[in-house]
Amino acid sequence: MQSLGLAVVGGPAALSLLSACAQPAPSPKPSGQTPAPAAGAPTTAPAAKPAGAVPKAQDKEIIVSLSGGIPTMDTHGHSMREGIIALRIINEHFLIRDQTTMRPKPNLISEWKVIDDTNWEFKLRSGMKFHNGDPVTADDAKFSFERVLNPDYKSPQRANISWVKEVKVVDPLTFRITTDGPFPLVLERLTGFAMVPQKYIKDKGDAYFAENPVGTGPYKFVSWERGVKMVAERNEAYWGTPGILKRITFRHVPDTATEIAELLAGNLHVVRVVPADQIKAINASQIAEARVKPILRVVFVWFDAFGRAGASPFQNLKVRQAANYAVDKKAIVDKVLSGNGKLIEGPLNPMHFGFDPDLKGYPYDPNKAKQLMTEAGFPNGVEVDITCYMDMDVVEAIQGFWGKVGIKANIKDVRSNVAGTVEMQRQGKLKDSSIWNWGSYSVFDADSLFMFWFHKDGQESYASDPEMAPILESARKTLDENKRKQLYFQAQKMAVDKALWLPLYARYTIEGVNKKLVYQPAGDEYQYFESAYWQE
Amino acid sequence: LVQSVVIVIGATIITFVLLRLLADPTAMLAPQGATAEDIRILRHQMGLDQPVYIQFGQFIWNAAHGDFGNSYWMPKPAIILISERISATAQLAGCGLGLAVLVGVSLGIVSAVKRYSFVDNMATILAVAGQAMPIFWLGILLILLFSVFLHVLPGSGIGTPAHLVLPSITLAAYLAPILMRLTRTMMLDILAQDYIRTARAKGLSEGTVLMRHAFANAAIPVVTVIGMQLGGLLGGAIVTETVFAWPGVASLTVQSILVSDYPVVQAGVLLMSLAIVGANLMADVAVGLLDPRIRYN
Repeated sequence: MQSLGLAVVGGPAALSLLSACAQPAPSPKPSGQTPAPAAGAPTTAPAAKPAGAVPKAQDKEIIVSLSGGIPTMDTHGHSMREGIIALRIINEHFLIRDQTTMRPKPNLISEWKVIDDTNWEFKLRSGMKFHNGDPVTADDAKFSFERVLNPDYKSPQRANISWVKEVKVVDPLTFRITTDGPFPLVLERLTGFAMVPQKYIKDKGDAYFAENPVGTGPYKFVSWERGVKMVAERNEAYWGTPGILKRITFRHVPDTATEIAELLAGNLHVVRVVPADQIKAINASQIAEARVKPILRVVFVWFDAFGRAGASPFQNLKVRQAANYAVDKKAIVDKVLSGNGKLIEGPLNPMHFGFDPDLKGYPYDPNKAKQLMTEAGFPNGVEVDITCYMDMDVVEAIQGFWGKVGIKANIKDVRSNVAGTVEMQRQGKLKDSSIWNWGSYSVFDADSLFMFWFHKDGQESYASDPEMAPILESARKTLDENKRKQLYFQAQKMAVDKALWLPLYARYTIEGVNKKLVYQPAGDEYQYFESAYWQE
Repeated sequence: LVQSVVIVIGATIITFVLLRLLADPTAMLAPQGATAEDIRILRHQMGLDQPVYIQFGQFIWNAAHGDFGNSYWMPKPAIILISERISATAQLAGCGLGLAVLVGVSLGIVSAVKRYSFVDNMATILAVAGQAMPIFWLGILLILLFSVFLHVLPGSGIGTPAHLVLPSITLAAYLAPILMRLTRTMMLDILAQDYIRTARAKGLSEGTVLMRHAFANAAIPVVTVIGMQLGGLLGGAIVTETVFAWPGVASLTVQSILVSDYPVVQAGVLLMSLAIVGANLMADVAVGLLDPRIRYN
């Protein structure tokens, strides 16, 4: 959920101005003269280095802000990113992501094997207990899947595991999942799916669980005031390495400017999303700093290449190519994002499985763009719409670049109606082009981007190219990793050759963190507070 | 009274229709990666695949029975989500209103009595600044000053009376200038009247003249305006609650609009329109008490 547009737009500006006046910050230089760091290089201060050995336990707490709030304490009862982050420390996920390789690794599930194309067997770690003392069994695993798949329960997460056809318990710690066809993303999906206690929920009911959750995680639920805060405390009986901090409080602070002010006042210790233009003000403070980490999210402009919303100049390949050549993406990353982004040549992020490192996109070449516009039969230029619900400063830069080669872009600012815009996009009613960002639901696989944006079955299928469809379908139907990679290489090349998108950059997450807190943002947009601690 | 009922029903209908014109909540509720079929199922579960007039009929029937439906995002009845936040908004609006009346009216009286003095000029400058400054901007400035730099007040959240100070000042800053200017103008007007001169000639103390004879009359339009401005005050509460992370009805309603949580928006709008209509009625009654000539029979 976004906070009030007015406050978000004006707030940080106010904060920036005041911080600049009140803090001993270096005087700001005009942006044109500021030597920008190289694109792709994080610009912020390094994380606090632990002075000594990592403490085993600290009788201290941290307060983390969540601008979107948490709708329910039932981990299966919502699909909001911040709720998923906060509740993961209570109701852990079956698998977890290795932060070095970014591939799934054991968590509640200790080992697995692929029996055949549609059958997977999973073994749970032995000796695990829920916070109420009940042992964790394969029955709980089966219950967790069936609970979300049950249409009567109306879980918004149902689509995440709709590939599960059946779950069978083999022995008290082993279960088997049958998929509705070969599904290569099984392990990826399990990094985002939580275990819940069968007996507890059956005894107490869903409504009780939604306010008093019990899980296996490193932290136990203490209290929740809806719209205000959630408090969790260290689980001393945790099966793995217990959390270090005694207590974690998640506060709901909807306004970005307030979040940053509270961070600088020391009342908040971690702010999950900080605008790039606030990095300088935060780093200039004595108390907090911005910490960045590359994440899976990519930012791009799609073109209505197939005329879904009616005739469009972008149906012409040369116009789409011109729109690619026209934009100096490096300048956008350097100037608008202060270097906090990594340029991408094609639709994928380097962290996606299936990414082709040798793929070459369109370099910045405005003369070539003008030439292509002439060849396309538009020597006097064209007029197009570009719909935008965020990244306004980026889209304004694109408007400027396009304008120089004869593509006059009218920005349709739809920030006041994001939900309506998502729906219009699904129905194919947005004209010409639109800027979007996509986190692939933290599924580090090309499928999670291509099937959504380049296939007719995806929700936003402006770039659904019939020639690409069989490639994507084959990649989804095989578990052979090499074959899948080759198929995605083909798909990426096709997306670039046909200039179906204007790929811009991969985002970095920018978190505001108290300087004395030893904690790093994660590349999968989760927040792993169990290993965080205060410098003594 | 009939007019009030019409206003509340009108606000409810307009909200219902506008919400459905604006956005389909399934677009945001469905997880990323949901297929068209997943969305169709979700829409059916929520009853949103029915024609709007049927949805409206069901809504009116249920609402008449006090049931606004469950929130789409939080598994709770909308009316409960709204009602558990009433006290926070009532506290904020009450303190903001009290502060605005206290500051606005007293400065207005002083300005009128000491016309063109230093105090009058300062009050005028403050009034212009207070009205011109957007609420979110003022809110952030106050947080920076009192929380970040001086560390004397909490910057956001709820819990202690200290948490109420900055949001109340922010909210009062919207209404106080209006009350101050109005009180000043009315007082100046009244102080020039013959009966004031008569009162003074009778040898009454200046305090009695000001309060019993002048202000008692100036208060009538001031009370009317307070009643009329309550809508504006609730509008201000939306921004104030958001900036200060104050968990009230106004911010919940706006957040619910942004995620198309129809049931919560409906319940919130109904409650706020009842509050505004109620405030206007109370203002009418209060004016009647102050001025026997317009007392209702």
